[in-house]
Amino acid sequence: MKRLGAWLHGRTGYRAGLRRLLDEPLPAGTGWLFTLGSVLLVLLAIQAVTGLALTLYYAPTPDHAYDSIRFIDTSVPLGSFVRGLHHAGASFVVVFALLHLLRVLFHAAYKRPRELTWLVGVGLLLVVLAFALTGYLLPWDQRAYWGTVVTINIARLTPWIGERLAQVLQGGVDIGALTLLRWYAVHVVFLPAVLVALTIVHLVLMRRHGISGPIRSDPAARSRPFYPHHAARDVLVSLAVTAVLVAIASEGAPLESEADPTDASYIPRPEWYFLGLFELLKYLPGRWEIVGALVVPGLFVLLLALLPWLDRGDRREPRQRVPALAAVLLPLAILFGLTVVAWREPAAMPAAAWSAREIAGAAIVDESGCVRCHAENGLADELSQQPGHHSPDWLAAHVADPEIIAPGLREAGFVDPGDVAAVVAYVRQLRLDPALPELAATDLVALRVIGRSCLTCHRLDGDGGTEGPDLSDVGARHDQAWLRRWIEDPEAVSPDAEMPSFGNLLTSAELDAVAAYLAQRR
Amino acid sequence: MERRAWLKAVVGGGVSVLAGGLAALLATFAVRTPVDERREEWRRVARLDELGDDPLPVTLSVPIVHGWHRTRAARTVYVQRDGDGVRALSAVCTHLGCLVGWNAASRTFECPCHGGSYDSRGAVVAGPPPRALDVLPARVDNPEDGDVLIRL
Repeated sequence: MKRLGAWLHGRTGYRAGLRRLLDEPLPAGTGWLFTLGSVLLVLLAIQAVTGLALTLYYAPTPDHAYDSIRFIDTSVPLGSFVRGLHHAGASFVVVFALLHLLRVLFHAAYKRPRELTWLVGVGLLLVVLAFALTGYLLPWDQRAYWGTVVTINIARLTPWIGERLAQVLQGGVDIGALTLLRWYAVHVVFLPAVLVALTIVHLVLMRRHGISGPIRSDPAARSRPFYPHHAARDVLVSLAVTAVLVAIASEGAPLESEADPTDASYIPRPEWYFLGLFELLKYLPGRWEIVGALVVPGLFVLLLALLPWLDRGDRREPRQRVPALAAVLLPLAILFGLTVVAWREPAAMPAAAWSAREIAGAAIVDESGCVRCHAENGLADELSQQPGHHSPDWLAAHVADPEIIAPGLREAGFVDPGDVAAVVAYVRQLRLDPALPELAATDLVALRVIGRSCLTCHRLDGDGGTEGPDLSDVGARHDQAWLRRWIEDPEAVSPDAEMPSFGNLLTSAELDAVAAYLAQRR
Repeated sequence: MERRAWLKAVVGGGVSVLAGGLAALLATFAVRTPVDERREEWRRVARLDELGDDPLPVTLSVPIVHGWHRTRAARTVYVQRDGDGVRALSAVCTHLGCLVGWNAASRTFECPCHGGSYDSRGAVVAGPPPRALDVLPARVDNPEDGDVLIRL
């Protein structure tokens, strides 16, 4: 080992470089707070390696992106963990970038001669946020797709060039294959190149001017080289942060159902570090939206960039720099407050629980013998393994007439549209949660009937038609006996009832089950 | 310098843990490829009474699963009687993988690419093929119905 080192040194002279790197004298009293930059470097390395690993399995096309992510989660050894690391790691990078920025802010380390180091740092923060924004789209699930719709619509607000900018971001007139591919390219090629270049500049500048050190140096403390004293601090904090990241990452990363561009009912929520801005937009509707979406963030970034020139002089004590600190901290505090407000709002999307329609779909699939062909090694892939790229229209046509692989070649036979919708909903749900929930037998009977028949006119848990009243809390208005009589023959209860009677269509057991189920909904 | 040596150990150990962990992660991803999902199974290809003197070509659509990509491939197999049982030969020429065809006049399988030729049992008669046509497991399911099954 020693001889190899000597041989290498004879050819490269690496020891002098290494010594220069490690023996950097640090100002006296450089403490734990000065480890944040190193932690950030470690986190970026984790992002780089996990990102590289993910590119081995990810496919950046709408047809396969979601399937490939699901494959990583379920079939690739350590796949779910690596995706969890990359997902949670992104949040860690944002948090530590902000902490690092705050540390520099409090120590006034951006002052002459370190203005450029600060400016490059602000650039790095923007690159990190661009990483977050582009990476968000890649899983191609509902969250990714609709979150990106919002991002692009915000870009569209830009005066004069908005429409052109949106088209450049989309790679076309709409969000689709070209968008995914170019965001992928930006995420894995362009941004890493910029990040590496800016990081090198940042570090070289940092070394050139030395670190600023504590504001008041302790006369008893003495200057010590970086290695091993401060390096040990860097390593210990990095290990601790990595341990927390690993613990969080072992949960994996979230994945919703596949992106469905036709499902405009989806309410997107951004990643937490954009939640504050997202909340701000709620208070600035209409033509004020541009203020929250572009003007405020733009001015804040400008303020950060110009800070070394706004807060000049040699004073480093925070008490002597109240205006400069307030200018940065106040907006950050408001952003933090907005983030908390948005965080506490319940997510608008219900959890991926099974709806009545999906349960009905399962029953229809059961009766129709879909699994004769959709079986392991059958004529067609299992239903839970269906590739995700069929549109709901395609699925509907295929359900109506299984031999139609290319809808439009011939007319589909008639199938009740309620049944088709139920099967489509079921197949989509299967990809998310392959196990039907455990339900009482009578509830199952009731939900099958409701999903096939009632939802054509009525709503239940936000799904269904609007001609009839919402059934979600019908039990608060009517008791079980009344409901049974009403469903069996509405006109017998009230002569001017508009609902058709179901007495002839449902069995007595089904009527009982539906009435019992609805009565407990209140 | 007791303390200094200890600090050096912390730095060296910590950096090794972080770098080693990341390297191991990447290596696992690259080297431990996912389990092969291809499964062979018995597939019904014909009824016994459909088999005459000549080998019967049957084209099957076989599911191919490669990671997240699912597709189907056509596989051609020649099925023929063999005493009381049946024999199934892969139609893939053992030379360079072209599909052989049955020539009823000469009673040989002939490869259109380089003139390889096999007899009705798949043994090489002429040309460059290095070995006989591949034999696939085949059986008759139940004698009454006479379903011919092959494993593919």
